[in-house]
Amino acid sequence: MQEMIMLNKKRGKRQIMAIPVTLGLLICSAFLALVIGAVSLSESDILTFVSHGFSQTHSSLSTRVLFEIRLPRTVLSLGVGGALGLCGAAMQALFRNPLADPSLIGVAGGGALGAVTVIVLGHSMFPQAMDVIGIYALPIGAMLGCLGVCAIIYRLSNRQGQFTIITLLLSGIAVNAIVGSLIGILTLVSSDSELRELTFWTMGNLGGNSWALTLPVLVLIFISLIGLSRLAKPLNLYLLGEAQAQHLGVSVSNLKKKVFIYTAMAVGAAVSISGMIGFVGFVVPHLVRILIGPDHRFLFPVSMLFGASFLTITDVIARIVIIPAELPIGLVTSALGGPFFLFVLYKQTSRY
Amino acid sequence: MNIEIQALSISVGRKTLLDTIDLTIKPNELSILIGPNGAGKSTLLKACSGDMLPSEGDISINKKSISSFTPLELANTRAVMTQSYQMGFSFTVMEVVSMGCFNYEEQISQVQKQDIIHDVMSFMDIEHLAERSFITLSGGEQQRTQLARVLAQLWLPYEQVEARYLFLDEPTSSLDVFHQYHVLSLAKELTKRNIGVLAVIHDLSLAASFADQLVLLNNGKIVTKGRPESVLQRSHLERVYGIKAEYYHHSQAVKPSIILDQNQ
Repeated sequence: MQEMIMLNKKRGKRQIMAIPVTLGLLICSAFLALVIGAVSLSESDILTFVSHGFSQTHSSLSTRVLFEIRLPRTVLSLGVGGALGLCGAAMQALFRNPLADPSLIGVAGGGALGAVTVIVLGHSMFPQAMDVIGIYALPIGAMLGCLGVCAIIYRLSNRQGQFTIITLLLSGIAVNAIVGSLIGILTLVSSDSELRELTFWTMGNLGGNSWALTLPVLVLIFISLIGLSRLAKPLNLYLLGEAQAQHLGVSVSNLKKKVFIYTAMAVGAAVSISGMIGFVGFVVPHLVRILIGPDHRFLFPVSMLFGASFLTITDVIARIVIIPAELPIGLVTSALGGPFFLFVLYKQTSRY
Repeated sequence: MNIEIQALSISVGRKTLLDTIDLTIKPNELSILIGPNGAGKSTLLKACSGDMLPSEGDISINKKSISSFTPLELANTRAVMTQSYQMGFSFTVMEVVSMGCFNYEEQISQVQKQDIIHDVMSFMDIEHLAERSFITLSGGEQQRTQLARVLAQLWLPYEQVEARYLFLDEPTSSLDVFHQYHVLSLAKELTKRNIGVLAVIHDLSLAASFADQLVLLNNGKIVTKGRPESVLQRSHLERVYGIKAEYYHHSQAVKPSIILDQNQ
């Protein structure tokens, strides 16, 4: 009893401390991501670069590496990590279940289906189109796949204006199963090189994206994350129960639809460019909740900042472990996140 | 300024849950719904709180049809305590109670909000639980926490011209005797602040002790309504509940009670 009270007083302090701490972590990880890599850059390079207002005054090798490779990649990993962290928290709230993650609403499966279609069928079926859109083909395909599958799941669970969570869950599972079998069929007819490309896509990769690809994705993520952040307070009430939230003045059906759409948009954008990066959306909010409690006004920003830092650091590791090659980032997030999560979970349960 | 329920019927599929109900709930009265399991008490409460739409008939709150309210307008007009509540995540008692202030949060300062939370928690006798996680509480403590949250929703403004309402679905089901009486006395207090209360209570003696208007439901219909002594007649009790019992009020110094016959 006494310890319980202490714990929750601590929680209050933690909630206040968490945002500056994770913000600091984010800045450190971004700095590391800029400095570390196959081409070594010094801190002074970064500082001159920043002090010149991010402009390419002298186009030496180091500034080009920094501006055209490191910076877009770092910004992307921050954006994607933030999106996965915050959307994971939002999904767990929507399903009122700490085990939920964005793949339930079809973003991952849909993205994979779109990507597989482009990889396997793109060149044989639409050769001209592939030539025209070039490097954009894969992200566009994945994005369309995401939106398509999410739209189907949304339609199936939205009957007569009633957007029920149990139908959402069940239709999500069914549609994901169908999508999985379609992916399987396409995998079956793919060639060896296509199969390889496809496998790597499903393990995630943040590299090789230009600003032209990165910026639209970041804009989509930014809009959705702003939208989700504004739902923090109603989502707290939603955790009391749907009827209870409605009684307190929340328009529950609208709330659920908004959470669905913003999450589909943010994670869809993230998946389309980075491939499937598992585990972040599940583990980050979970850890943050253990540390600072379920209040979304704190959980959302902290999950976002922590997700961004976590993905950026894992991306640094993915880049440097086997230079000059790279590990797929999805492998690193699971390999690092899994044991860390188990450790926290074990400590948590052994306390009581 | 009343809640007017006119010829209200609700059916789900082929099953009729409520059958042409006519009822008035006045802001200065404590109305209590009684009746056997499945009589339609909770359905009636849900219809009044806006959770279920009438199949036929209409409900108007303060002369305005219930279907024309937005969720926020409804929240300003009525608070609801449901029979069950689930909570997947470990909010503290204080956090749960503070959610009751949602509908007027923007209009008050943090200090005022703190005071309101403090007031309702001391009212429900849960101050010592403030930092505890809701899911670790006992059933009765959880119920008191939810009641405190529901009270917080109606706490402001103190003097409101517009009548407001409180719906309680078995608010005393897990409470000990002291808290049962405490909660109903509180409900009675609220009726003096222009708040009408409609509650579902199973304990007939408890209902008889506090109700201004007692409504006896059976099979989706109102059997009778009015003062406790007229509703709780031997014939009604036998027909609706299948028990042989007598309404007994010894004197003004004691609460009335329902006394069961030895031979049922």
